Amino acid sequence: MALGSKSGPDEIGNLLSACLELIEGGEVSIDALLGRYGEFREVLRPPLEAALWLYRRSWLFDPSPAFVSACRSKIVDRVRAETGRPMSARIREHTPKDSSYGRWNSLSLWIALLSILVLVWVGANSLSFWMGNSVPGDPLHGVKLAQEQLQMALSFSSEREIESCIHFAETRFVETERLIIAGRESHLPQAVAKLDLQVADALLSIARMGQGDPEQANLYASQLESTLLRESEKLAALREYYPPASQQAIDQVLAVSADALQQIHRRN
Amino acid sequence: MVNVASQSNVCNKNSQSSFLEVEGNPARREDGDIELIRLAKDGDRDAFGDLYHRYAHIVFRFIYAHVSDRWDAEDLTEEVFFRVWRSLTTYREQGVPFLAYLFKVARNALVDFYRRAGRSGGLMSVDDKPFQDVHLDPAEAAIVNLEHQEIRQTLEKLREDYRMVLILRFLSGLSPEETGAVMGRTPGAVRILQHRALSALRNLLEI
Repeated sequence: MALGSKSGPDEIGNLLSACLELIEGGEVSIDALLGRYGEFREVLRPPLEAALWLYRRSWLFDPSPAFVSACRSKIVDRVRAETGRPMSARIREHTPKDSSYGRWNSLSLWIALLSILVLVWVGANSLSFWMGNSVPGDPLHGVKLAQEQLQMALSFSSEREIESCIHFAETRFVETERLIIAGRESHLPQAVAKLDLQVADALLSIARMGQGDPEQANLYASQLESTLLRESEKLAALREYYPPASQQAIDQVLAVSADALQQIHRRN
Repeated sequence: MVNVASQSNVCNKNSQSSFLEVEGNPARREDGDIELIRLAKDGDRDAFGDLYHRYAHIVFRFIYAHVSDRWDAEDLTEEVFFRVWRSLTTYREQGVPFLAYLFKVARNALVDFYRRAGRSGGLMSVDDKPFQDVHLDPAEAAIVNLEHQEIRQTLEKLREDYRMVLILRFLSGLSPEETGAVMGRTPGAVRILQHRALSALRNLLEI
């Protein structure tokens, strides 16, 4: 590989990659490579040594063959259980064949009734589950927000109101995270705006309480602070993995969080 | 600084072989994926099993580089493939290489894992859970545990993108092109990042 005397990071990066391919292929030692590219000896030696250090330890991260094999069977079994058997086979299995049909028929009626009750119960719980897990842009998200507002309206003590505010702020963080993970970038600005408002509400409620009961307000401020720190760390950890639109939203959330933290510190 | 010279030579016994034996040619892998995905979407469970077999090693290595417990890594690997199966029908609509999609699912599974475990730190948190491996005697397992912890602790000192490129390239064994697809960067950018990450890693080592 020919390189100019003023090699940029691009060229060194390519040269290093070429060297790594040779080492990976077991074709050549580091010393032989450094001898071949004597001009770049000092530039190439440190990364090549580090690469070798990692290569030699990469086997520590290997799965055991027993796990790979057992896991494949488990996955195929889970997939089989999920997809189920052909409908015709199931219909044949449940067709009555003897004189006990009447008794089975009565039992079937009870089973059907029980199934309906179970379905209604599951349906109600599912609706509640999906509503709880909805994010901006989902049809049920509006219902979720209305429910939160109702909960706030029914908070008859300032303590309960602040606790709800902090909880809802945390919920807004989780919703933003979910949108980022799902790649639903178009809804992120909406989520960030809602989070901003919710955090502002929480701060305002705490400030209000501080007028009458500063000690209690400090406790809630600490609770909000730990929520902000925890959720910001999670988002900061996600940042590198996602495209610019998501990164921009994360930066906005982090700015909201930093601003709120500053306000909390100022009041302390 | 990490003193690796004094460590056991257990790590040398397999040297570089395990890094190379599974992956094969990336382009050929992607070609084969398309057919397996098509069959799996049609309900062919064995095709999905083959797809699993093709990627189980690299996904496990990636996950095990992020968690300290081997059993957690095994559970998460299984979870990743099951999630992939469930979302396979919508996969093509997302228009990303299967490998990138697979790692996205793996990262999401890790995020959920940390959330469930109540860990709010970075993705490379290290704890003191003992390493357990039925294939190793206790003394050897202890040494392997130390080595594994040491690598994770060393990588934890690097910034996030450096850590990620090193895990993908040298522990999961992806090519620069595949790493680029997973990280959303061009192969050229991956090569530059890899160079910087390795130089930063070398500064932490006492070889």
